[in-house]
Amino acid sequence: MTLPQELDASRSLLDHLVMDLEGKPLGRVDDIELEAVDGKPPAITALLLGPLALGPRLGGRLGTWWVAVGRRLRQDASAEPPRVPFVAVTELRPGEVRIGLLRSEHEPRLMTWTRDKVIKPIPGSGGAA
Amino acid sequence: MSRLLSITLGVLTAIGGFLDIGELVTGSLTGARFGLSLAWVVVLGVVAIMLYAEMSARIAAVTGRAVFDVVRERLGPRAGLANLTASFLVNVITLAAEIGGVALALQLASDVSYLLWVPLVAVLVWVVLWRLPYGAMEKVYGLLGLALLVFVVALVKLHPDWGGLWHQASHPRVPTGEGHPTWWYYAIALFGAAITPYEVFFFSSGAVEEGWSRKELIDARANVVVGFPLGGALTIALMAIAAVVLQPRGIQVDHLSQAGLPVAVAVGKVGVAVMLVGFFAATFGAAMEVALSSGYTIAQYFGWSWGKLMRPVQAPRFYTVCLLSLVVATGLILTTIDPVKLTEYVVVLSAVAFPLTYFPILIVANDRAYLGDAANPRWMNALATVMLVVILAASLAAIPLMIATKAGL
Amino acid sequence: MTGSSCCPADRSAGTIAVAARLLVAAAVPMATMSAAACAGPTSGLTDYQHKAANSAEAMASEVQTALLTGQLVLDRRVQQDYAATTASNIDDDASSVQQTFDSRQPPDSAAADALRDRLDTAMTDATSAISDMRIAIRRGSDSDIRAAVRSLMKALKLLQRLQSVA
Repeated sequence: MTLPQELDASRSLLDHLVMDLEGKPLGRVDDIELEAVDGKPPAITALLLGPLALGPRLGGRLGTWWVAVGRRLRQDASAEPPRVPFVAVTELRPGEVRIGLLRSEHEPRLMTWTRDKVIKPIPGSGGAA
Repeated sequence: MSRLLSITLGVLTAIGGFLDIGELVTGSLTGARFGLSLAWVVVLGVVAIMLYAEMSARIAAVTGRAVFDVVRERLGPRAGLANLTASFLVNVITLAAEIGGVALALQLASDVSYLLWVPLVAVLVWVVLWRLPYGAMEKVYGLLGLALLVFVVALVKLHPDWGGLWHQASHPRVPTGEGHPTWWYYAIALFGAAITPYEVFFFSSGAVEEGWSRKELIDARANVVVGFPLGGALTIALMAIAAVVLQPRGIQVDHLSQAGLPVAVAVGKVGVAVMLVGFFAATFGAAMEVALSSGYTIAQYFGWSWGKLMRPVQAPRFYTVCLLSLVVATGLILTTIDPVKLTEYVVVLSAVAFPLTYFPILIVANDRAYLGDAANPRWMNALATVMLVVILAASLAAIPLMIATKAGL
Repeated sequence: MTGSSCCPADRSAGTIAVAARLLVAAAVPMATMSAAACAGPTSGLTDYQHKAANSAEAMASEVQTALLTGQLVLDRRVQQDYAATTASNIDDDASSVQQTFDSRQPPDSAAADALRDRLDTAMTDATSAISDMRIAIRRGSDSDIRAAVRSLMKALKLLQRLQSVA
């Protein structure tokens, strides 16, 4: 399926689920990265995920605090949100954005952390000992 | 033949599954205090939950999206977050009430303090979620919940004045000696108990996870259309036996034990034993569902992997949230807060968050871009909109009435 | 069951902050209710009579529950554990109903004092009969239960007269 040349980001992209090559969810499109183009609507260059991206969209004090939480989680004050280049997008569906990457290669930090620190220590979690 | 069996199983599961600590407490309490004058609220609640459960299941089957996917996509991240926070809070408190309910049922069977049972119950819930095959568990608890049919048996054996009961139910009137605001307050409580959002979160998430297509939708509709009303009928039976046995004696229901006295009167020890099995099954089943719903709502908002059928290592953030909510809920009930009072408060407070949950469902169920020809027919829209107005009214009146009546005093 | 918090500290701190805001919003009505439930000074005789009638009604409910439970035990229609749990619950409730009423400041009038004395006597009889019933049920003694039934019925009569005061 070819992607449309123009799209309404708020209807077709924002807050949609990001699904990887195997159909596993990576997260949601919390924000998008735009690049100004002369005389035309801006071009979408990347999908942005995570609290650092969602914070500004939430706005206000809540948003500022959200971003601060995200920065602390990454232990890096100048961190930028995880970025999926728009070229990786393979398909747009209602509510979903499919990308040609594997989640296992770009695993969200919280997922790794909770798996290692919370889930694996509990017996019977289904993980390798 | 096996399809008929599976539909029957589904219906039976839905009957027992309709009742949880909310219905047990509010049903008995209102019956003892107001007779059957609030029975119409149960009917209203059943209609509302049938509509919205069917819609959310249809959305799940046709689009593969569960309720909180829909909420964020439709309301946006800010409103979605407000909804999420409110829903999660209500979920955790409801979970505390359900765990309390299981512990109370165990106390009634053993005379061992419910507080000692609480940690065991929490661990049991966790073990079931963690390890045991969920599908089988769900059916077991659903079927055991049918033990609550003892309410109907009790009602029949009490040889009540059926005409009088019918008159009370069909001509709702505030009983003498009770105030109007209190009556309406308990109407909201009953309504809130019938349409708790976790049921919808759970139903739609299960539909998505099990990969329902339109074929499964037909069976699901049977469950909803037959199971929920029968569950409502069980609630009304509970209300009626309280009206027949407790109301004339002026006994107010402050404890789960009082709710069961009419069964003892009518059916004796066997009835009580069966009823306790039913109490246990209904509240334990609900505790599992609410714990999972806490995970579903958060995981769906943020776009994490989720699923009760997934191994924990496949969906670690989801399981972590479920565990966290179980821990917090257990802590809450261990503060020795009265589980029955907690139940009464949470069913009313949860009414406040209803519109945020149900409104997006109605919107998406109408969206032809999402659902195509499976979108709502006009009659369903009309009915669901009326229900939404009722839901909105309940949500707006809940807190003021709670203050005005001092929580139903 | 692990007791440790699962999530990185800040995220849970954040959720707690939002939750705290919501709880505060919910706490206002709850605080109002608790304040109302805590006995404050009562203004006027009518108000006091009203509260007295409510207390009498609440105590009557406890007495009736104890009566019904005792009767069910005598008729062998309820299990021992169930009856014992019920009786203990009611015992605790009854004490607290009496305590709540006793802690109310009556208005300065002879009528109020008379009412207080009558109700206090009735409630003392009731709580004592309810305790007797609890003990009798736990002992499994039918004769003790019957004796408790008699005391409960006497207390009930007193309470019922006081319920119609307001």
